[in-house]
Amino acid sequence: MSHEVETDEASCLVVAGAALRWDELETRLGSTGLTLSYLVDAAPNRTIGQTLGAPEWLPTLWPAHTSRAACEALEASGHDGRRYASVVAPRTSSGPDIRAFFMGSGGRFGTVTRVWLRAERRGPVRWLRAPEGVDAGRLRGWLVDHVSVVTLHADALGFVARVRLGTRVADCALEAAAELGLEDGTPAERRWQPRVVVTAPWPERIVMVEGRQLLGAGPTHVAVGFDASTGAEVAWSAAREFATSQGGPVRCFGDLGEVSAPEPPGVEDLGMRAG
Amino acid sequence: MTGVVAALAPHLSSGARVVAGEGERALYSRDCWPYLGLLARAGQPSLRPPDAVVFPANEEDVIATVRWCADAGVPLVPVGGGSGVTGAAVPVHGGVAIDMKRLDALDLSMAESGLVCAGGGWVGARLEHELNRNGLTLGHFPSSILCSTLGGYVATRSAGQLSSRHGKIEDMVVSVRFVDPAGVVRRTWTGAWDTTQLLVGSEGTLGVVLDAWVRVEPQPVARRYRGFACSSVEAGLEAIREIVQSGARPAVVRLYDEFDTYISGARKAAEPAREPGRMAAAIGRWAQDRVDAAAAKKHALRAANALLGRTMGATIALNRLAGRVHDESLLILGVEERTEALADAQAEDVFAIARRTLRDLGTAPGEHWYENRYAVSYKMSPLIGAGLFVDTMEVATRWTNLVSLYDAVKRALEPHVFVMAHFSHAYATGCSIYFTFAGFGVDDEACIERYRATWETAMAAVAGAGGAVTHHHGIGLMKARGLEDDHAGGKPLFDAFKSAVDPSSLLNPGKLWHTTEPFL
Repeated sequence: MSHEVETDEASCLVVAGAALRWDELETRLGSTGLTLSYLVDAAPNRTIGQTLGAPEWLPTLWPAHTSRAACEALEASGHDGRRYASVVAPRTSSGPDIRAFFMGSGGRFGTVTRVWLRAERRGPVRWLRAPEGVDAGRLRGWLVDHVSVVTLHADALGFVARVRLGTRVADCALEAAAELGLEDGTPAERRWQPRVVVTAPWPERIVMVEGRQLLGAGPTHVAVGFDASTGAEVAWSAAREFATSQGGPVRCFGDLGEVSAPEPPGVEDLGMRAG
Repeated sequence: MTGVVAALAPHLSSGARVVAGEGERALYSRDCWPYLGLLARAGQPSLRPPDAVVFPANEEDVIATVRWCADAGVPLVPVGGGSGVTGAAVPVHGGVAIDMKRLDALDLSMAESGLVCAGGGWVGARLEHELNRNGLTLGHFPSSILCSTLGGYVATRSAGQLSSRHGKIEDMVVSVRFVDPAGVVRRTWTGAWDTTQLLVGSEGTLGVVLDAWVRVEPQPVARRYRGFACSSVEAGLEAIREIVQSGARPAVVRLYDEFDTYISGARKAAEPAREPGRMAAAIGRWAQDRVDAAAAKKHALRAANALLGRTMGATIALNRLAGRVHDESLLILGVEERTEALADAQAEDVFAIARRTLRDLGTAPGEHWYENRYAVSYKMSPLIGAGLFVDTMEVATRWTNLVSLYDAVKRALEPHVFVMAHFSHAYATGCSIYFTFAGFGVDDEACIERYRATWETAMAAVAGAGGAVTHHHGIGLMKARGLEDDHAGGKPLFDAFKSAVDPSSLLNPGKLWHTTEPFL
């Protein structure tokens, strides 16, 4: 996999080799008018390929700000050496999304080698921190109203909102944020670590408890991570217990990397095997 | 055929129906693909009709039907509203067509989280009406909303007219519950690998959609629509690009090229849209006025058609003339938000950018478009009745390739058909182009041949210019050849998945990568 980077600034597209780490890519973009800093899952210590290959934390619900949602096109290589390439276009309805074999499947069907990512125009942003115990319903409503200029990131302390400035809508978002009690706050460094993840519809309250970490949020779902450093079985057990207590469409999976874990469901159900 | 009815009916509930009448079989042998209309006009039989049609009353009937078909080795084709325009729901190998429109359960228990679970049989307009009663919207407004279903949206990877604000169907669907070809009920988005995006767009080849969890939003109550005159298509596109890349979120972005601006005639609310059908009829009446009615009345229609044919036959000249009848392009911009304050803020952002380089025409053009946004789909019939063929092609590409794609397709099609276009479904990275073309042949056979040659030329032009061959109409039978262009090397992956999920090729056989009767 290459480490090349090209940009099509007029189309807000960044073309990058999947072996690049996100922090390397953002550094290389520093001299351009584009940035990928809005992506909520771009952990600095992970490569683009690792992130795209891993299960998605949040469902791809527009305008989700995850690397998968930002992936306009990709090239990949299967285990048998066959190559795949999607057309570079903002959207197609050409049957099933074949890219889904490579994104989120944990490398079962091949490896992403090159990606076209939707970037933002570089410009002023402001970071706001949501206080612990913030009303989840109001926070969600704020995100839904202003989702074109607000992305909700998460770090060890809770939610951190990134507001893209320069529009009247952004001004409205900041006014509403003040009413919510959001304050200026710099995000702590995000680093990927092994965990089991439960993605569930927004709860009534955002509660931070020991062993859980908020990973992110979209307009309909929050993602909660269960630390697997003390053992995958323990993490799976806690996660499944949490998942069964939620309503609506809930997803539970392991983003464990080298940590051994039971085979996730889904692939087995469909009788699919890799290679 | 009556054998299918007699064998299947005992497996279904008393509320279900299984029929094999000639009328139903003919109805379910087609969708809204214009090619099938040309065949019918020519008196040619449609592609092979189903042997029977099932109307399940509930999901147990659906499961029973799938299992019976699997046991009997009978193909099964799921059907929603039948409004597709590519032949996706046409049963190429006969078998059973299953009409899903009675599966219309609705679970609103998670609505506060912005999620509802809706049966695949909901007709779009009915579902939207029911959601509106609860202060919600799905935000999905295809022009076929009156005759298409949620299951069909999922199966064809559809998009609505306000998609720049609300997203497309793949952006709305969280999880799909479906019956697999073995008759087992499964759900996507359960484990590590999210298979939702493999089922979305599968056009009935991988599963029969029962229901789906979809994202909903508070219903917008504030709308701001305006029209702008653009000195050129390029000027309009540049304004659109700046708008969507600024972070603004317009609901509607719709730029008509010069002749489509003339045809749409949407500059003033009081001025009716100029319809291609009316133009054709007007030309025909002009011809009739110049024929001795008493002596040649029986030949009047043939004369009108001949005149029309000569006019339509000079396609290059007509296309070049069309480019000169109007020197401005019309851009429609619309904003929809939950509150007046938010709508004002979005409108201020969107319209300010447009006013920098474009001429503000006020609210009338935008509001006129909004009031008539579903009418355009029903204007093709007069043209087909007049002996023409009409069709549309929606493609997409990135901004830096957009004008090249537009020029390439127009240049390729001009010798064959009359062509115009509008640009919509705008993204930060690119845009969709929606071409409309009309052509003529001296007789039905020539008409069909020119229609086929037009599509052959169009698809080649799009692929050659690096565009996606379909933005939201799907593949069906018409565009199967374009799959390799949009997903180079994708066939082995689809084959492996299809073989694992549907080893007997039960569901909608002969489609997508396994098209056995390709149109091109």
